[in-house]
Amino acid sequence: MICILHISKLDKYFDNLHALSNVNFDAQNGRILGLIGQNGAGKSTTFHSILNFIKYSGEITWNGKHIDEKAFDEIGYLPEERSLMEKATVQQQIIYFAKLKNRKANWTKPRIKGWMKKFDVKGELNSKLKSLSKGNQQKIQLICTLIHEPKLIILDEPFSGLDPVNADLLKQSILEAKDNGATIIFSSHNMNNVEEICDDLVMLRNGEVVLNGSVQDVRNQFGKNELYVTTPMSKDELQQLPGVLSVKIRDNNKYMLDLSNPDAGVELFKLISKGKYIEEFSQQPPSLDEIFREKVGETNE
Amino acid sequence: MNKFKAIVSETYMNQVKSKSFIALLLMPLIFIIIGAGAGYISYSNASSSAEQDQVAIVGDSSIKKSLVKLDGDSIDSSVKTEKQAQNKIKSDDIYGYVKMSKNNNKIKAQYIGNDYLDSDVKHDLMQTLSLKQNELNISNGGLTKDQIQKLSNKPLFESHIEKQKSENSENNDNGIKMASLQTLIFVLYFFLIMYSSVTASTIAKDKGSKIIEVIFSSTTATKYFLGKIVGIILTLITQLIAYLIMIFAGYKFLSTASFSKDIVNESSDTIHQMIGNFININLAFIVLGLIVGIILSAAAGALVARKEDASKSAQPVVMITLLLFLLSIMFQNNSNSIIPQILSYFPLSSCFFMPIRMINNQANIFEGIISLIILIAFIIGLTYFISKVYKGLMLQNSNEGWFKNLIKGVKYR
Repeated sequence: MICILHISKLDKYFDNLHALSNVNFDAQNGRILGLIGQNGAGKSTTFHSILNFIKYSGEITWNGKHIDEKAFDEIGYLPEERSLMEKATVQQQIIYFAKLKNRKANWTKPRIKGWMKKFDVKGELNSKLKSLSKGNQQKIQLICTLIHEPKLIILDEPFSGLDPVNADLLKQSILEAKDNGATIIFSSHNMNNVEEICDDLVMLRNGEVVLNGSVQDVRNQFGKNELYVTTPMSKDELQQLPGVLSVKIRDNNKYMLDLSNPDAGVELFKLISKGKYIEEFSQQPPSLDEIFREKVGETNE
Repeated sequence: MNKFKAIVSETYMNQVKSKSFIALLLMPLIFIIIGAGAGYISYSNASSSAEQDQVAIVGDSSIKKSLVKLDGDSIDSSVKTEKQAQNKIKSDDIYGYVKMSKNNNKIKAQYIGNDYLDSDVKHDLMQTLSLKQNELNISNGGLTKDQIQKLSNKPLFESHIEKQKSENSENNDNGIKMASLQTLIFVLYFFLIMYSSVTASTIAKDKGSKIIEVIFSSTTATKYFLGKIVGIILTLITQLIAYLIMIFAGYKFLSTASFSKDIVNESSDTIHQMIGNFININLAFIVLGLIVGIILSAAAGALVARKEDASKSAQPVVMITLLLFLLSIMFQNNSNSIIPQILSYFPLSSCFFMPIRMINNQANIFEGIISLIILIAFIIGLTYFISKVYKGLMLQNSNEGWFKNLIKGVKYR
């Protein structure tokens, strides 16, 4: 069964600020969509529109229906600002949020320990939340978001504040949810995370969609203008080659060449390898990070 | 319904398990225990010192009998001889004794003691001695029957008091009214202040900590708002029931305990009349007044932007409550002037002023019902309005003062 979050002609004004302008995209089940953009680009406003926190013009549907309280039961939402009821225990907090998703206590209770183990939470079921470290509190909030097995998972900056080990645990959980058929949307400033786990991405700039598609397609749109090579040639020698705009040293004998066009690669391979074995010759599209910087640069200009 | 129940139960459990609630719950119990303890101690002291407040009468059993009849508590009737009396003085059981004797048809009373003879005992003693001396004089005078009869004539004193009973009753009624008014004003003020703070801070914490975003991604703002209010009202009911049980148990205990039963029994009419002043339409005003306060506080709690401001969030409602408290104190003896009359129909203030006017017999039951209907309609309207704008109030994050935040929240889209 295909579950789709469909967003069409989404428009939102805050007084005179045009926060979202004609935003269109779909998110499908079994896929992860990364929503990227600078601060104030409209990522959280998009999430708030999906969750009906604000009134908007346009159309947002989940499986063909408007999102109402019943649909909320299928949604797991992690807000940008994390917070829990400090006086509650781990178990009380998770059970309360699960109840709000129509999961009874006796359904939730046996699952809590498994989730705590999965996220390596340092604490007990009866530990007061305020006694846990910030990182562990964040994990509990993630458990609250995921424990009711939502079909649509919305994560607003889920990686912020997590160390690399815990970020990997979160990535693992997101991928598991994807394998279980959930539709996942998350926002992030970290393009490596997006590149690593996202199938699709939408980039917002000043409330407008500037990029939309699968990660690979988006990267390919920018052409394979980057050439990664390992060669004993010097930087100056490489700089003289036809079709090379610039050369960056990555390491000893390792360079990244910026090409004037992707077709230059065929001639360059002949010139650099000289018909012999070459350790590395990889022509790639720009990374998301570079695309992001380029798109943000367009705005700043 | 499950989500609503979850919010109600979370709110209720959070409140009743809090240390402040338990402390408040135990407060009357502690007062009763302290009061009873103090009463018992003073009663014990009074009992142990009671014997020292007695005198003995020796030498004439008939005079002793007469005095015991007049003031038995002050006479130690067990003492029969002067020797016994002297021993009892030594052991501090009595403070003195009166030795009766007769010489040349003249009765003589001689007081020996460690302290002056109590004036009441002395008065009773002199009265009894005069009577006895008189009887002795008559019998010794050799008078005829007719002379004795003439000497026995006593002046007549007739008393026709027609208004005393109603005046007393009026004074008593005024006292009861005043006590009822003071209790009403205090109870409303105390609970309004307490529950305004509790409600507003609970909601302000949810808002300031952004938990509200998770909640609103699960249920509607209306359900959250109503769930919170019902949870707080259940907490209030729990506290009231606990207080009533404690007060009832305390009353039962004090009305049977030896050290307090006399006082309690003497005041039982007053207590029953005071209860009668509350267990009627006035109780509805008190309960509905508290509900209005809770609803307004739930709105006030939604107007703060930060969790740190939670404690200040109830300020608008506290200010209104304080104003009504001062006005009700000011007008409690002049509750039929135009201002209290208007305020007795205005929602929230009517909870103070209509019961005051009804207790003062300045408003009849129909006026009370009209005011109550206005109050109920106001509660329904207020709940409906706030539930409609509640999402906006909770999700707007301005920090420009409660009034501007209210306007922004209402306009929030």
